[in-house]
Amino acid sequence: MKKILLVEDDPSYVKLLNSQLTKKGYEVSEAKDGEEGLTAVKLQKPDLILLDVKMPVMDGLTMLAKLRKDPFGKSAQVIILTNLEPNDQMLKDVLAGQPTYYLIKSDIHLSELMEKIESILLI
Amino acid sequence: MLNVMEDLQLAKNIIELEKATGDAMFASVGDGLIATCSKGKILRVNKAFESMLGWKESEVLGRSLFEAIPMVDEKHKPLHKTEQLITEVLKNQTEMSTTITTSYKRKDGSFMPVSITISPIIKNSEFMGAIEVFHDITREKEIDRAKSEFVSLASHQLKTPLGISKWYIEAIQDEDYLKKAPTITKDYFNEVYKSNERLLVIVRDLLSVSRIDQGQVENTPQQVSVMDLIGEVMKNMTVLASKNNVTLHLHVKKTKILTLFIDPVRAQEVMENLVSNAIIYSAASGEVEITIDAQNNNLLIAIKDRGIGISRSDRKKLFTKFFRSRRATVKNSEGSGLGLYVVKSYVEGWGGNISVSSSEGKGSTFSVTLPLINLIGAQI
Repeated sequence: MKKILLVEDDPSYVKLLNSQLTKKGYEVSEAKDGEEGLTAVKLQKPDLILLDVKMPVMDGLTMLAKLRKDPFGKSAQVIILTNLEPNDQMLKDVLAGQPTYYLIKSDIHLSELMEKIESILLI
Repeated sequence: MLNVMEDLQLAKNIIELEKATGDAMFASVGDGLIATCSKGKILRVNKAFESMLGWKESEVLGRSLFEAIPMVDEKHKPLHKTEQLITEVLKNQTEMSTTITTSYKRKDGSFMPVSITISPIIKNSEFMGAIEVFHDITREKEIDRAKSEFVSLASHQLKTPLGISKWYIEAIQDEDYLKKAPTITKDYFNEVYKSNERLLVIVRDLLSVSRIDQGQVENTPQQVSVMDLIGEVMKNMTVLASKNNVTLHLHVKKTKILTLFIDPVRAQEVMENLVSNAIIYSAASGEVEITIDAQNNNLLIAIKDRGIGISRSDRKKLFTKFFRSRRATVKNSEGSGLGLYVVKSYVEGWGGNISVSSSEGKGSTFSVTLPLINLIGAQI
């Protein structure tokens, strides 16, 4: 069973994504900020990380930068999920050819997100 | 003899009083005042001028206005003599005011954004010179910026709960029990979803507008082939067209290579906005014609529909923020009224033009002109 780590501070998003992903047969774990996220990655070695940007304590982009310095995290699959418009800093990872995707929550359908996740995890 | 002396003294006193009053008025006006001769040389300035710009009257007296006080545009690029208001006023001898953002460079090197009005002084039909009044608009610009930032912030905050509703409704609509539910239940959920989408459109448009107002729009011009651009637009708009039972026709009148120097993403946004409007406001089984032509180094794009049309009074306000005609609201309750304002801002920013001609009940034609660039070897 594939493991997905959800790094997101908004409980409404967490509840929905957790139940939808579990329904699809994935094993879901949660972290509510970048710091918890880094710990969770080390412990669980997830197959995919869904990463929110705006979070307290440590935001998503800071976590991502630290993650890429880690031997496991260097090649971890990441989908950045945010409502913020893309800027250079956000696309840095994507443009550098890392296994990172960038999706704007309010602009895509839930089904589109699910399809993206499925396609990444089938590889 | 004495009477004449007395009268003379009285007349002298009156003149001196009037001069003193005039001087006091000139000196005490809170905005900057500059009086020039008919050739534009500075004759006099007031205290506000001195305190706002840092120069004493003696430092600028007798010098040409455009040379003595550096004037720059909104990017702080110096304005040439011919680009300055005083040149126009001296030439046309009529009152004029600034319409674009201009700033004066102070003696200390700092910039002060101003709004300027220059009036000719005409006595007995003779052009004597000009009077300039300039007002420091730093505060107005601050307020504008704060307003824009507020809209931006609020819009971002709104995106989160709207995004959440969107996905929750989609999740329910995906459930079997809802697919098997009575029609009215499915219908009502759909209405909630549509309403939520409307709010998202409004928020997105608000963000577009505030980004334009704050000069934050990513606009990286590059060489763009007109046919590539139109191709993408047609491809994306075909789905919307068939959903609305509308046929799209493309007429290309010039088959030679046409190239624009433009941001391709923004250009596509503009075209798709106009074409989707034409589709949405068309009658069912209507047709939308898109014509591409080139003349005098300009690209001419015409988008014609045979839909509901736009009344004359609506046409005047069409490109302003938040305007929606009543007919448009009836036909398409989902628009936000910000689309055409955004389109106009982009087009004019590219050195182009947009206009509309229309007949109520018969249809509308939106015409866009954009400057073409000459590629070596290509002919226009």
